[in-house]
Amino acid sequence: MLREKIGHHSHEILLGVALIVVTIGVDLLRPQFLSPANLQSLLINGSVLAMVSAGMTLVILLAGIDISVGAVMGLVSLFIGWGLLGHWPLLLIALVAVLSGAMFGAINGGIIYLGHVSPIVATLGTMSIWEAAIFALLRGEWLSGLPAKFGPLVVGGVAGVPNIAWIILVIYGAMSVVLTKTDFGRRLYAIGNNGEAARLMGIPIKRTGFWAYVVVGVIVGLAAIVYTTINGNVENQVGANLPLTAIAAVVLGGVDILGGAGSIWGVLMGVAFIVVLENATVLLGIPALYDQAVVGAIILVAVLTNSVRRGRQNYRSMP
Amino acid sequence: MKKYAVKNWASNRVVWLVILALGLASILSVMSPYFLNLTNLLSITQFSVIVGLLGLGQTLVILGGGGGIDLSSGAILSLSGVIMALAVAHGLNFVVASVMAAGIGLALGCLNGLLIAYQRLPALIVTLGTQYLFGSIALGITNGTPLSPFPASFADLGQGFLGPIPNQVLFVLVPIAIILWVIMRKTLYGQQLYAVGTNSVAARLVGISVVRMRWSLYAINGLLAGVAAVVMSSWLNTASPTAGSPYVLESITVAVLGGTSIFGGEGSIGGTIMAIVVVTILESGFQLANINSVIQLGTLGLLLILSVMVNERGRMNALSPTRLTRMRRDHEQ
Repeated sequence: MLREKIGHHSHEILLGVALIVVTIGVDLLRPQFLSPANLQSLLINGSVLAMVSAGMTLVILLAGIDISVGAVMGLVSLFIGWGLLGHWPLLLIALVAVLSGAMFGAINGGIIYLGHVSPIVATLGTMSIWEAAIFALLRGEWLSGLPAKFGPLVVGGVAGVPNIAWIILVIYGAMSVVLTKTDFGRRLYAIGNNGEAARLMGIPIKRTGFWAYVVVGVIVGLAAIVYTTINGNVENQVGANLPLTAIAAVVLGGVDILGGAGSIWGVLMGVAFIVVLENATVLLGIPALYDQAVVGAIILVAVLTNSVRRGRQNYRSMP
Repeated sequence: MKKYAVKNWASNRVVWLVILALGLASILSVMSPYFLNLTNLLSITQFSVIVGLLGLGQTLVILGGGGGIDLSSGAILSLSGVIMALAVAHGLNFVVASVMAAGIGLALGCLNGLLIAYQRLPALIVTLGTQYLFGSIALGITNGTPLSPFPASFADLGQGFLGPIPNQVLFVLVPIAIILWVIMRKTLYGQQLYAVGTNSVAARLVGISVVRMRWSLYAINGLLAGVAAVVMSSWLNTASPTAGSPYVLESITVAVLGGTSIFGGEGSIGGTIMAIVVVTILESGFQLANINSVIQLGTLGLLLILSVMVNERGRMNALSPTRLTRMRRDHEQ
């Protein structure tokens, strides 16, 4: 019983151990790593990735993918920036962020499920379209000096713990409930695991998938609020590396890239691992140009270990 | 009988692409009187070589099925280009360096294929990872700055013309396209490739090595990216660490626009070549109208989505569970 439970969570346990080892290692080399100020900035700077990865988990679980999250976040950030500079009421800005995010998600979902385009191609296409839109709207300039009106929600906090940390915990808690306790969540796993069987069971594949992409859009819209608050500006290249890093976090967190398996708490650990490692490269003085090499290598190691693990499980379950 | 002929004609992707190309060309010739001039038409073919090489490679990879795609070919181009430039800067002869660049492309493609075909990892995620790995190494070893150590004679390949035809088209793109066309149409390898892409289980049962076939496709794609790096360095006289990144989307667009099914097994070199013509005309139009390349990429994105929608219409529902299951089984077998 216990052994079974450990086996079921072996990936999370392994990741946890790796996280602790890396943390101790970096702290020994650079003692400022575990200082309260550094930890606080890690929590704040990792928050956008944490939110977007939670959304990405949904679509990867159903054997999809969303490459457009960075461009969508950029476009929504632009709307938020206009709102902040135009002194719109905060509630209106938040509403615009959530609704426009939902709309961009619905466009992805519509192209995929009504237009029968595979998720990778559809979101690769919308990514370049939204990037072009950002460029056209910004005219090559930056939107800067945005007032941090959402500041209290994000960076403000009690006893040094920023509020965004609690918000992220709430998002992951809600996601965990949705994935394990609701019909919608279980359908995601069923579709990702075996689409044919899911269809034969009468699961509405298109409707479920469509809403999954809409939820991703909403979460990315919320992430845009956090992003503009932290950064105070919207630049041309906003969110360019976000899709890769989010996919890396999800895969590293033990979610099967082919869908159907994985837990949201594993993803949170994957996010933590990447945030710690990126901070470590800065503290250890590794040039920022190699940042993406680290993330790329993490992805490859993560899928390799996942496949080795999966292969062994398949082998074991054979008669 | 005649009715069928008309129907076949109308459903032929190449015919539609020819119509699209003629339509675009007539719009452009209205926009600018210089467009419809033979010298100009031949000279804009120089914009087709890089996207052509990567698009042809991408076509092969996608045709092989099993969710095959290569997001890293742009980064392979960048990395082999800057290594070549560094070698030339350290005094290596540019001919030797060019061969070396192609070899590096081949090696990087082999690495992709090793992970995807032999380790049975999903192509999308592997090449996403290697894209950032290769691209970041290219940035790292150059400190992010473009290099231009090439001697003047090296520019002959990329900037020279034989008569009105650019050398890079005549001596690189056209021969490679013909070789690939012959391989796909006339050789056992080509037939086996279609078999693997259409039904990998059946292909394996008749004795085709699916693993080796798919591995070879990524290797060829890497080699073509390495060749593209040589052409690009010569054409622009610089090797930039980010040179290849815009071409990934273009290469997939060209393959899909040319009629290649994203699920493998369907598509042709001829279709891809026609798609290259369309994209090249489009690109020269954007340059004529002085429109930024980001907008150009956006248009390509739109074209990509629309062409897949057209591709998958009337075929088996692309996202029907059967298709998804088939892809899954493909990975696990």
